[in-house]
Parts: sequence; C-alpha cells; structure tokens
Amino acid sequence: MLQTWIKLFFRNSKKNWLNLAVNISGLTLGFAGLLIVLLYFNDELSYNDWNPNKEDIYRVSNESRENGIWFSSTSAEAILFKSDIPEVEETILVSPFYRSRVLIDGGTKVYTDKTTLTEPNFFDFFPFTIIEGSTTKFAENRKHIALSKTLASKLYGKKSSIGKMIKIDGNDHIITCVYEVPGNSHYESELLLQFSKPFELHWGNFQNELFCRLTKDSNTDEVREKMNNVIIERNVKPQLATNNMTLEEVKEKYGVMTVLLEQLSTIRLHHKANNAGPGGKGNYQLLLVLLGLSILLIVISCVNFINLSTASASQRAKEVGVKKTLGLSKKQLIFQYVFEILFQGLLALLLGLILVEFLLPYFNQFMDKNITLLNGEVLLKLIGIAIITSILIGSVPALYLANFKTIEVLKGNFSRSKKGIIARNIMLGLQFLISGFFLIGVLVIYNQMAFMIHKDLGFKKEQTLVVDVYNLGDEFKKYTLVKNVMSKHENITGVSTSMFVPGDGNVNGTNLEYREKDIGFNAGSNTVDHNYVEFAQLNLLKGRTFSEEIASDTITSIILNETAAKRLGIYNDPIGKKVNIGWQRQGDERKLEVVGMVQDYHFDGFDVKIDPMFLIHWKTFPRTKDWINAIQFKIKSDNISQTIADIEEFWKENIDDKYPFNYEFLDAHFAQTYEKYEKQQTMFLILSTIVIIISLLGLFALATLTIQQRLKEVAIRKTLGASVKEIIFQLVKSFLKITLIALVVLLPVSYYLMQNWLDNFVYRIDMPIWPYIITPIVLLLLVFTVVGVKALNATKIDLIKYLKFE
Amino acid sequence: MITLTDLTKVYRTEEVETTAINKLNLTVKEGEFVSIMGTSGCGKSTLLNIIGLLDAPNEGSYSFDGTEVAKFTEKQRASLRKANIGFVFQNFNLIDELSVYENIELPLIYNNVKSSERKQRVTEIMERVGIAHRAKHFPLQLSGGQQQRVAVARALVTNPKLILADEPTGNLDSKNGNEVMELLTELHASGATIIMVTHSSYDAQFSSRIVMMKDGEVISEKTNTRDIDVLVE
Repeated sequence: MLQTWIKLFFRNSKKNWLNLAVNISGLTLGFAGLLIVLLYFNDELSYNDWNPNKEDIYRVSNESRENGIWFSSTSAEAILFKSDIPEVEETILVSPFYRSRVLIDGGTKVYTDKTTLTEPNFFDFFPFTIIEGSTTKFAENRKHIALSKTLASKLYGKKSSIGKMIKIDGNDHIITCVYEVPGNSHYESELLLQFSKPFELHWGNFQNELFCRLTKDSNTDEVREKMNNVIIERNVKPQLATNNMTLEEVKEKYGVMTVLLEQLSTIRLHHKANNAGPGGKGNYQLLLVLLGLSILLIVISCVNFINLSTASASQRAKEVGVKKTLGLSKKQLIFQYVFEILFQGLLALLLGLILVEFLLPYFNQFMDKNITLLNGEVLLKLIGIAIITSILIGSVPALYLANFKTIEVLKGNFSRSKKGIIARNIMLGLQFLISGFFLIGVLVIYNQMAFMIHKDLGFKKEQTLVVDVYNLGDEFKKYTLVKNVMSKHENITGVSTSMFVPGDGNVNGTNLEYREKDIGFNAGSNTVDHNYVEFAQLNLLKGRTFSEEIASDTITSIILNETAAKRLGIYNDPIGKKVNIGWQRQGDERKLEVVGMVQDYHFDGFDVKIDPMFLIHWKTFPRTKDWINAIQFKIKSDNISQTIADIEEFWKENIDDKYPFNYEFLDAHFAQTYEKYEKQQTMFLILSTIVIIISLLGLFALATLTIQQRLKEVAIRKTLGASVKEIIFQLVKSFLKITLIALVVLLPVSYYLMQNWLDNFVYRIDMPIWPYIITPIVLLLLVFTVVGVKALNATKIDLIKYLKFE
Repeated sequence: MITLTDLTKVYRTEEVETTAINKLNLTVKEGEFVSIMGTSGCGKSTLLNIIGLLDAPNEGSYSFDGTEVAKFTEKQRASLRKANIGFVFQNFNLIDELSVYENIELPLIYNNVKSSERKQRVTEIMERVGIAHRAKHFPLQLSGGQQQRVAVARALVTNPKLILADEPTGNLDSKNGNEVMELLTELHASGATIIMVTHSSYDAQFSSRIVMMKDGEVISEKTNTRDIDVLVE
C-alpha cells in the first residue's frame, strides 16, 4: 500500500510541481521566520540564566523627579544599604561601561575594549567559570587582575598566565585568575581591574552600577522601603539644618530620590532604567512584535497551503473516488493524505533550517548577536510545531477529499461551500492588509531617514576626521602638540577639540544659573578649544567666538546656544550677562560672562531634542583638561589616505603608542545616531518582502483554487463567444473586490500607526501622501499580474474536455 | 451549407497516435436535420467539435457557408462560432451562478447586442421554449428537462445558422427527452439547420437524415422517410 501511495504522490507532484513548489516555499519561509525569532527570543531570555545567584541579585536604580531614572548609584548607598539593612547580604559597585586598556608584558602588547572596573568580590556576584588560578587570590589584593581565556591566550598562547606581571597604564598588576563567561551575561568583560582603593562614603557620585545580594526569600518591597528610609535618614535629614527646611518642604520643592530594584534574572528584557549592562539592553516589546509577526506568517502560509492543497485535491478527486469504490476506508484515506502533507511539512522544515543556517551570519551581524542553530530546545520546539502544523493543515484538505461522495466524484461533480469561500477571502484580504502596511511603513521610514540624513544639523560634519583619545594623562598638552604640528600639514585645514563629539551620545551636563533672575537648570557642558565654533562651522547669532588674543576667554567667557539663552530669559540680549555653572566649587566666586550665542545645533543624536548647552574653554576649569576624548581634523578631499597615514605616524610617535589608532569620519560617526532607525528600516524592508512574497503565494494559491473551480464556466463562456479580455476580467473581478476592501481598511489604519511612529521623532517630516498612493497601485498591479496570468492560462483550456466531462 | 472533404483528425500523445476521423466526406444542406450515430469512440463527437469550430482538423477541407475554415486560427474560429453556431450539450453546461435569464442573455452580450434588444430577444425565446415563468430561477432549481430547454434557448437566442446538439437527451428521462426532441423538431420545421450526435436510434428518427460512423469514417447514410408523429408517444 505504501508503495502505491508513494507512487501516486510522486506522480501527482510531478504533474503539479508548481503548486508543490509554492506550498513548500511558503511553509519554508514561515518556518524559517519562526525559527529565527525563536532563536533570538531564546538568546535574549538566556541572559544571566547561567548565574546561580540570578534570583537574589538586584540592581539598584535611582528615581527622582528631576532626573527620571538613573541606573547608576552612589558609594554611600553601597556602603549603608549593607550596614543598615539586614536583608542585604552584600553589595558591589561595578563600572557600567566597558573601558579600553592596553596590557603590556615586555614586548607583548594586547588591547581590549572590554575592561570592567570592579571591587574584589566581583566573582561572588558573577561566578564565571574559572579556567586557571583562583578568585580568592584575585580578591586578596587590588593589584590583582582577572582575564578572560581569550585575552590570556592572546598574551601567552597556550602557556599559563597565572602569576605573570602585567603593566596597565603604567601600573603593575598580577594575573591571578583566568575565566570564561559561561553564557550571555550582564558583564562579558575580557579584563577585570579593581578600583584602586575601597570607596569612601559619598552621596553625590552616580558613577557605578550597584548590585545587592539579598537573603533568600526576602520581600523586595520591604527592602525597597528600607533603602528609601536609609536615603532619607542618612542623606536628606542631615542636610535639613543647613538648608533651613523641613523634610516636607524638601519633598515638596525638590522631591526625594527613591530606589528601584531590578532582578538580575530579568533585567535584560524588563529593565526600568534605560540600561541593562554594558552589553546593551533587550527590547521585550520588539520581541513580542516579532514573535507575533512570525506566528502570523506561519498562519498565513498555512492558510495558503490549505487553499492550494484543496485546489489540487479537487484535481485528485477521481483518485479518491476510485480508491473509495475499491474499498479504502475514509480513515485510511485521511491518514494517507495527512501523511503526504506531513512529508511536505517536514521537507519545508528541512529547507527552512538550511535557509536559517544560511541567513544566521547576516542576522547576527545585523543584530550584533552570536546565535547558532545548535540549540536543541528550540529545534525540538520547532520540529514539534512543524509536525502539529502539518497535521492541522493536512486534515482540512484530507477531510475535504475524503468526504467527496463517491459517485458524484466519479461523475466529476462536486460542490463548493460558500462559508469556505468567505473565510478564504478574509484571509486573503488580511494578507493584502499586512503587505500594504509594511509597504507604506517602508516608504514612510525611508522618507524620514532621508530627511534626517539631509537635514541641516547646525554644524558641518563633512571632511572631519575624529581620532579617539584614550586615557593618556596630560591630554590637553598632547592636543596642543598635535594642533601645532598637524595644522601645518598641507591637506589639513584645521585641528580642534570639543568634549561633545556629535553622535557620541556622550553628553554630560551641569547646572547653568542666572542668579539675577533666580533661574537655573541642567545644561550640556561642552568644553572646547578657541577655534571650535569656526572649526565646526556653528552659526554664530550674536556676539563673538572665543579668541586666543583675549585672555579672559580662558577664565570667564562662555558661549550659549539659543535654547539655553531662551531658558535663561536673555535670548534678545544675551551679551554681557553674568551666569554661573555647577562646576564652580565653593570659593570660586567667578562670574561667567556671555560673549556669544550660537544657533542650536545637534550636538547629541538626531532623535533627541536639542537641549540647552554652553561652550566654555578647556582651561576655564583646568581639571577638564584631562577629559578630552577625541581630536578632530578638517582634511582636504585629495589624498585622504595619505593624510590619515601622516596623522597616524605622528600620533604613534608623539602621542600614543599603546592604544590602537582609532579614527572615524564625523559624518559616519553621526550616522550611528540613526543606526537604530536604519535597522528598523532594514527590518521593515525584510519583513515586508517576506510578507509580500507569502501574500503573493497566497494570492497565487487562491487564484488557482477559484479559477480551477470556474474552469467549466470559462469553457461555457468561451464557447458562447466571450473574448479573452472578458473572461480575464470576469476572473480578476472578485480579487479586485477583496483588494479594494483591504485598501479601504489599510489606508486609515496605517496612516494612524505611521503617524505614531513619526511622533517618536523630535524632528520629523510631515506625513508624506505618496506612499498612500503608490501602495494601492502596487498592490493592484500585483493582483492584476498574478491573477491575470492565471486567468490567461485558464482561457487556454481545452474547451471540449470541460464541456463534455465536467 | 457544410461541405467536408477528406477531413482527418489525429490525436497524438507521446507514444500513441489515434486517428479519430479518417478522410471523412460529408455534406449538410441548409435546413437539414442530420443525426450522427455510431459506437463509442467512432469519432462522432470529434466530428461535431470540428463542425462546431471548437476544434480544428489536421487535414482536409471544411467549407462553412462557402468559406474555407479548416485552416482558421483559434480567434477566427471563435468569432465565426459566436455569430453562427449554437450549442446544446448533454450536460446542459449552464452557469450555476447565473439565472435562467442571464444564462440566455450571455451570448447576446458577447455578440455586442444592445441591452434593449437583448431583453426583447431573451423574452421572446423564453416564451418559445416555454421557460418564461422560470426566468429568475437558477439552473440548480430546475428539472433536467427545463435546464435543457434553457440550454436550447441559449443556443437559439443569437439566431445561429447552425445548431449543434451533442446527445441532448443523454441526461434526461424519456419524458423530458421527448420534450427536447419535440423542440428541436419544431425548430427544424421552422427552417433551422441542426446536426445532432446521438446514441439513441429513437431520437435519430426525429431527424431527416442519419449518418452512421465507424472508426472515423462514414459507413452509411440513410434518409428518413418515416415521419414520426410527435403527438403520439
């Protein structure tokens, strides 16, 4: 029996190879999409899963009225929470971003950009797998360091690195521990350095992430309450006397900072603060959306599969009739058919796996991930899903076939149900709707991106080379040296430096006050060199720029941006006004004089509203002179690579021979701020392509099915003299109706959703109208093409066959 | 009206070659009612399809109303067909989704007849075949005999020069079958040219000439002398 079945299956497939290909490719895409999303989901869920303490470790974030939620905390909290709250077993402060360091052993230099500064008890919180050495040894002395296996082998190859002496930033350290990070983790550092000395109690310095390990089964709400109390008792209350205020007054006027606790096990996806470790945060909503979409894709491809299988099932009706006459039971019939579909389903699964294996490298690169297909759990799930789906989609056509009345089938008559047709049309309409939405989405996003890329940013980003400055010491002196020498280079037209490099996302601020009017707020504090305004081609609206000739420009001069001037209430007449900034320590009685006002420019990312900001010279506050992160060069467009090589040569010889020479053009650098949206654009593009392909497959399937069922009608009409044109129109008509209904729904819905998306942007385009014109045209064209081709084929049928026997 | 000379039709598949019609000669005059009979597979349906311009012969000549059509393209055949030939099939071949009226109207639409004239002609023909009271019904709501009458009406509505009937009573019981045959006889009496394929020698006796076929050739022709009294069963 099996033999007959296999024979029949392959002979039928040969006859209907196009249907089979459409069926299998639709399912393949569906499975591949689901697999990728599942792998991604799994990867995101696996963060910190390996950590045995994941349920007991909580990160402390601080929430205040002024600043919103900060994910970093103070040393005072670290010390006092441990000493004052019994449930807090242990605390640790860890630097929240990776740093870059160079490790030197004699002639060997190794660079890593994944350095974490921490306290000795790091491994109590993050028990990495120890390859060599011991964590107790690491904790003994603050000069002791721990290395990842990869970094250690870069230094010493296969030889042991324990006990080796290493120079970092001129200091000696001893390697005491080599580890491997067991899985996706909050910290995936390559080098663990210790803070040089224990923290002193300080309430003002929010520089590190604070983790607390709580005793088992402690009530986090109670613990939070206790922590908030500690802040009030130990920080707020002692200050009341100096401010001459009551606690209620302080709460009323400034608000009091409270803590949030985020469990390590879920912090990656369910972070309240806008950060989840130096490795970045997950986006739970995006995951859910992707999961939903991939399920939708599967459902749609299943419906398409069912439609097409039912269509070809009708063609096999006779086989069923004969089999039934010869005594095959209904159960056997259904079983055979389901088995056939299962075979196709598994084939699709196999192809899907191959497709994913092929696509994963790109996906990994795109999402900055390291996902492999070798995930037993996910694969098992997928195989389960594939089998269940196959059986489900197999049973519909199987039942359809098996329920044919033997005699009618043999005579070639079978009816179709109205309900089935409506359900199919709705599914098809839904597919048009989704395809249309993605198409509109792609077009709108594209418009906004183009707007962002071409918008006047208020500064010139072209031909500007940004070279990173690492932790060098004496940075301003080194900068001056670079400037003096390299300015003379024939292809370099300018050298400058500013603390804010547009696109860094690295913007800090301090208070800006106009005491005369008692106005003060946080403003971006951008320390710059004299020539920066000219260098970046900022648009000076009032007053003057900094000048080397004027001595006070390195002592009391300040330049504001428009927003800052507006907020201070001095927009119309800013020049000569005296302001103060939060960097001035007690005893610093200087009044800073506004000498100029520049037009607002995008010193931060593009999607961020331009905040108040001021420019001040590096020397005005000498301690800032070591905070230079980059030196910028304006270079001519000829011989760029030679110019860069010249800078590099000078740099290696005179500035820094340890860290890699890292440079980027400012326009590329700034483009990173819309990388997120570029990724969304790509994602929309990919998804829309897949959805449109699947919908076209669906359209093809349904067109095949309906036209199949109407062939007799076509034959009659043709015999009566209908022209090809008339018949095609007759056949396309019903599909056009569905498309038009879908369009009526599509346009307002996607307008609303895309309007919402655009609202994410501070600087956005007006909603363009043309995507709403192009999309319907494209959809209609596609419908015409697919159904039209099918219909054209239908007009070429063998009239006699359908007139005589159907 | 129709002259077939040395007409040949061969069906070829990859391995087999079947000669359905073999150098056949036949003439049908205007106003004749010809029955074609023969065993299954003798080529009678193929012959009817060729005469009806649904199919083209491989060799030989086919002159329709003085025009040589054997080498016509499909498009030429289609346009000649819709203007001159009406079909009646064994399985009626009505469109289930269209009402009686709409089914009959269809060929007029395809012949670009104006809507007012269409209405008049459809109403007329429905009266003539006695189906006017069913105008708004759908085919599946009618008996077989009624359906076949609708099919006949549809074949007649364009006033074709030639009516082709392929076993018109094959799916009907004898009472309904008789009704249809009476209708065809009436048409013949009023001057229509009819060619009918049939298995039934009873039906064949309604016609004026019977052509017997075997293996794609005409083996005998017999002119009917006996008039059937259509009023006597």
